[in-house]
Amino acid sequence: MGSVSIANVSKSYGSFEAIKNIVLQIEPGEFVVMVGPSGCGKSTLLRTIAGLETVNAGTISVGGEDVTHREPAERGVAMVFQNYALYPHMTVTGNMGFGLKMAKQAQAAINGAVSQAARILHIEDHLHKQPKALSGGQKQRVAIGRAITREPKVFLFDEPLSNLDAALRTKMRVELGRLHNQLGATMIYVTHDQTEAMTMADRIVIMNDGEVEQVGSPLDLYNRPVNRFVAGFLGSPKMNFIDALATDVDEKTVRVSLSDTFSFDVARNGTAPSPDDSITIGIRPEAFGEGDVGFELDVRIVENLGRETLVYGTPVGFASSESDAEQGDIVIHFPRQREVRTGERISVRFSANAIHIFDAGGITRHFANTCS
Amino acid sequence: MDNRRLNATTLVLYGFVGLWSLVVLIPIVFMFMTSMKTRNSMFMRPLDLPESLNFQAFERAWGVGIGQFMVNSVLVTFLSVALIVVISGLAAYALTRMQGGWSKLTYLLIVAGFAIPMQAVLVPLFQIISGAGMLNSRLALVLPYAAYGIPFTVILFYAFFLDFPRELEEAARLDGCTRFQTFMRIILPLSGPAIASAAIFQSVFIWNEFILALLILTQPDLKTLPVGILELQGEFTADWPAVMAGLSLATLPLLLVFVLAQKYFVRSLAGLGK
Ligand SMILES: Nc1ncnc2c1ncn2[C@@H]1O[C@H](COP(=O)(O)OP(=O)(O)OP(=O)(O)O)[C@@H](O)[C@H]1O
Ligand SMILES: [Mg+2]
Repeated sequence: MGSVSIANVSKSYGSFEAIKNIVLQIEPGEFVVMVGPSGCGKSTLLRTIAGLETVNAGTISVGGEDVTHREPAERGVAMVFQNYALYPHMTVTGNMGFGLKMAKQAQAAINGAVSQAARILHIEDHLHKQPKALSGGQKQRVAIGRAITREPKVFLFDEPLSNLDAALRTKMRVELGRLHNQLGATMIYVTHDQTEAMTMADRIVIMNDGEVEQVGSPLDLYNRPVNRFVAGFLGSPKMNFIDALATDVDEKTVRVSLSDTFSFDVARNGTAPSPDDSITIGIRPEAFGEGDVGFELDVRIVENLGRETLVYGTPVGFASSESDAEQGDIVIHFPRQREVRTGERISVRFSANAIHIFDAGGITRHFANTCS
Repeated sequence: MDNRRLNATTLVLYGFVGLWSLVVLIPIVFMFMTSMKTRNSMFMRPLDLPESLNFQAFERAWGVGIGQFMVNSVLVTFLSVALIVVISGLAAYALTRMQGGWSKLTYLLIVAGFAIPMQAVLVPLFQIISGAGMLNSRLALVLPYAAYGIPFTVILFYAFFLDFPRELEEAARLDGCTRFQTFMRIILPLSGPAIASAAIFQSVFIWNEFILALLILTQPDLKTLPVGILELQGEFTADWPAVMAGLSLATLPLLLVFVLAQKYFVRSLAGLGK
C-alpha cells in the first residue's frame, strides 16, 4: 500500500509538451482510473510514475518517498503493459519470478511468491508453459502475476484489457476489482473504455491535451462535470450540445432561448451567465422523456438494442452544435423498446431541470438536477 | 484460367530453380566423383562414375596435412566469428538505443566501412601487420577478418534491434535489470536467428578467404585450408584426385553446418529474426 503524489510534473518531447504541470494526489489503496482522448498523455504520465520516462519538472513520490530520480525497480511500483510484454524465452514461472531473481531473493522465497500469485490468478496449471502456449487472457494473468510477485506499493496498468475480446474483458474487469480488494494495493489504471472507468474506479482522472481536466468519483464526474469537455467525454452516447442564448437572468432563473420562438426558464444553481451571453446547453440522451419542455423531432436513424432504443433525429427549430453531428442530429435514449420508424416526426419532452449550461469558454454554469 | 496461369508460373519458377541447382551442384558432384577415381580414369573418362569406392586419394591428401589445415581454419574461423558477433551485437545495441546525432553518425561511418573492399586495402594492411611483427600468426588473420565482418554484422543486428519490442526491455527494467543485464538476459536469448544468420554469413566468408591468408601465412603448420590445398597442387602436379579429395574435405565442415543450421538460417533470412 502506498500513496502517490505527483507534484507539478511536466514532460516534453523536444518542443512538444506531452504533460503539463500535473498535480495529483492518490491515497493508499485507491483505485484511480485515468481516461482521456488518444494522445492526451495518459501513458506518458503512467510511464513517468513508473520511471520509464524522466520528467522535465516536478516531483513524484511513492509511499511518501521522493522517487523522481530513482530507477524503475527501486520505486516500489509494478507495471502491466497492454501487449503483456512477457519474456518469450521463459516459462510462466520464470516470468513471474524474474523480478525476485534479479533482486537476488532465495529460490524458496521466489517459488513461494510465484505459487501464491498463481493461486490468486488461477493459473497454477500453466506454470511450466511458455507464453506462446497461452491464450490472451492467460497471458494477461501472467503479466499481472509478474506484477504481484514483487509486492509493489503501487500497480500501474496501461490499457491491460484492450487486447481481449468483449466477454473476456468483462470477466477480467470483475477479477481485477476482486484483486484490488484482496490485495488492498494502490492501483493506477489507464483505459479507453468508459465502462471500465465507471465501474472500477474509486476516482476517475480525466485528461486532455496533457492536462488534468477533472478528478472525482465516477458519478460526481458524470453528474457535475466542470466543463463541456468532461461532460462530453463521459457517457455513451454522449451528451447533446445545443447553442443557445441566455436572454433573461434574475435571482432565481435563467431564460434559455434556443431560437426566437423556443425558450424556457431554468432554475439557477451555478454562477449565472450575464444576459445575452451565448451559452451551450447540454442534455444527456437519457434525460429526454417526461418534462415541461417539448419539441418535435424528425427521426433519421433508429437503433433498437432490445433492452433500449436509440433514436437519432433532427429537431425542429434548433440543431446540435457538434460539428460532427450530421444534419444537426441529436440522440435520444429510451430505456425500453419503442416503435419508431425512420422519417416519422415524433414529439419529445424533457425537463428544464435536466440540462447543463456551459458558457462560451466551456465552463459549467449550471448543473442538471439528476435525482428527480 | 487463373489456375492455369498460376501453374505456368510455378512451372517456370521450378524450372529456373532446378537449372540453378544443377549449375551449383554439378561442380560439387564432379569434385566428389573425381576424388574417388584413379589418376588414369580421371583423364580417360572424366565424366563417368568412379569404378569403385576408392578412398586412396583421400589418404594421399590427408598425408600432406589437411588435418592440420583444418584445425587452423576452424580456429581462425571460430575466433573471428565469435569476435564479430560479440562486438557487433554490443555495438548495434548501443547504437540503436543511444539518443542524438552522434550514434547516427557512428552508424553511418560503420556502414561506410562496409563499402571498402578488402583487396583495396590489402597492401597497407600487409604493411601494418608486417610492421607489427605479426606475420605468421593467427591473430594477424583474426583481427582483419573481424574488422571486415563487423560492419555488415552491425547493420544486420541494427535492423534486428530496432524492431525489438520496447516493452520487453521496459519490463526488464522494472524487474530490476541494468542495461547490460537486459542485453544479456532478455535481448541475447531472443536474438538466436539474427546471431545464426550473422555467424553463418561470416563463417562462409572466412572459411573460404584466400588472398589475405596467402599473404600472411607462409609457415606450413599455420596455413588455413584454402592456402594449404594450394600446396597440395604443387606437390602432386598431376594428382587431381588428391586435390579434389582435399577440396571435398574442406567443403564438408561447412556443408555440415549448413545442413544443421539450414532451418534456422532460412527462417531468419525470411523474416530477419521474426
Ligand atoms: N517518445 C516520444 N517521442 C515524441 N513524442 C511522444 C513520445 N511518446 C509520446 N509522445 C507524444 O506524447 C503525446 C502523449 O502520448 P501518450 O502515449 O501519453 O498518449 P495516450 O494518452 O497514452 O494515448 P493513447 O490513448 O492513444 O494510448 C502524444 O501526442 C504522443 O505523440
Ligand atoms: Mg497510451
